[in-house]
Amino acid sequence: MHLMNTTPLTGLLLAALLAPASAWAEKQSINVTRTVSADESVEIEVMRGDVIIVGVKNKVFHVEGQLDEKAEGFELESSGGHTVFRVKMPRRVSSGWGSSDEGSQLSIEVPEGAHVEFEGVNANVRVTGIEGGTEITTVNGGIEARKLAGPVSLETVNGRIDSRSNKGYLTLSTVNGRIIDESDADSLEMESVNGSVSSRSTSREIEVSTVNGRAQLTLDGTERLEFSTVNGEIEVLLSGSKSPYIEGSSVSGSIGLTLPDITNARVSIEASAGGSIDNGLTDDPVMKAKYGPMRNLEFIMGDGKGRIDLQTVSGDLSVKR
Amino acid sequence: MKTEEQLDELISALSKERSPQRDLWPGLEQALQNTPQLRPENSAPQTDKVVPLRTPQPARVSWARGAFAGAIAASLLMTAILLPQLHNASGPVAPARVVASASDPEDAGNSWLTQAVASRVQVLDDMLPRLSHMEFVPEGFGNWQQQLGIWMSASEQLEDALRQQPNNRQLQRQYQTLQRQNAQYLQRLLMLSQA
Repeated sequence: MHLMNTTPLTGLLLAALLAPASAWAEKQSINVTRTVSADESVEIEVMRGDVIIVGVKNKVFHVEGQLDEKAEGFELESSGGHTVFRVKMPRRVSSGWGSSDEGSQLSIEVPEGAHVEFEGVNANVRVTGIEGGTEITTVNGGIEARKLAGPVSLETVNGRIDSRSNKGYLTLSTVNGRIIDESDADSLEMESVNGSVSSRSTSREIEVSTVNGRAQLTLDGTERLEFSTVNGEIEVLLSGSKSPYIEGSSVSGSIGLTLPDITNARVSIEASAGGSIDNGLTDDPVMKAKYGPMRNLEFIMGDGKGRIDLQTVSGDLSVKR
Repeated sequence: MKTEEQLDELISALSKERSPQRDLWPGLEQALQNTPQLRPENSAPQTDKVVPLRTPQPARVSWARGAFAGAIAASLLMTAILLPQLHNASGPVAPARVVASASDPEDAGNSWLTQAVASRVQVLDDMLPRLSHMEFVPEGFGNWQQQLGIWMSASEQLEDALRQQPNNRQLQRQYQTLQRQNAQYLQRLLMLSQA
């Protein structure tokens, strides 16, 4: 059966399925198009499945594909520059009756200048070419993002985030998944609890935090870098920056900074209780407190314009060129 | 075979100090706090208690905490609601209210943490019924207790870290991020479970 929604743009489009639930064992097709504004605000909610969202030059909102086999239909409401698309699910979609090939399979087109908000639960999302801002939130699913701009927020709990060629203000957040980033964002923020983080970026401002996850950053031209971890390991290679502002901390995790181009910085490194410090930038010695386990290292390079401030409790810190 | 003289030379070349292999200060601190200051003269002799020295632990996923998961959920949710009140509009981490009342920066950091933790404990009883009376567990949230355990463990690690570095604004921000993530997760869980 093919579902085609024909109600007016401003109306609530609910494809009420008249057949009993038992008749919906197969996925229903959907193919709807609405004319919208170039900078439309779009909300999409798809609880399960795989969704592709693409920014296009046309001023349209277009959905094509198959609805979740458990779906009761869909809602499409569009008026005043705001479009909402929602796959209607039964009141009870309990845990335990799902497999990886279940759920909606949808391809959605929006104007490239649109602002898109997506929410899912067991949903994998691929999104590309949207310049008006993108917010993707899912729980158990991966997010693949390409060529986005504006404020971009990608968040999942148990999924991988793969971010490439994105610009603007980028926030990537996961709990247990992995973050892979290759971006040219104005600013980049990455958060993880247990997942690892790796980034190759030319962003001017970068902020990274993990609890147990490892972070590996290969950066070019970054002017401001802040990072923190509890037990994770953080490795940074920052080239193309003569006077960076770097602030980092760990509890027991190790931090390694490689700064091949640094010339000017006021450096302050402290290990408060058992951590070690390795200075590969200058010949300045690491000082050990007369009483207690604290060690610290302070020196100034060049005119001291930049700043390197590292702290650990019991981790190992190293800086080198 | 080395002569006694050679052995003496080797001994004298050894470092006079030996550093511990791990951070002992938290354990010492705990031991000091737990040490009774006064002992009644007639009381029975007390066996010295071995205080385990704390070291930062990796995330623990404990199903044994399931019974408290609802409470944890509640506390984290409210923490996320209350935490923003602790920082001003100009930055995400400055504990404005606390700074205003505490002249010592370390006190300010400790106060920040105390309030942050207290705010989630405070509402524990209020939210527990909502989670314990969910009509059903929605798809995608089958491991919600395990997930809460992960957040709980991470929060505890950060709290330990903040006790040692009370003014570390990155850790404060990280703590807030954790509570926000958890709150969003719980909001969705509750919403879908009562849809």
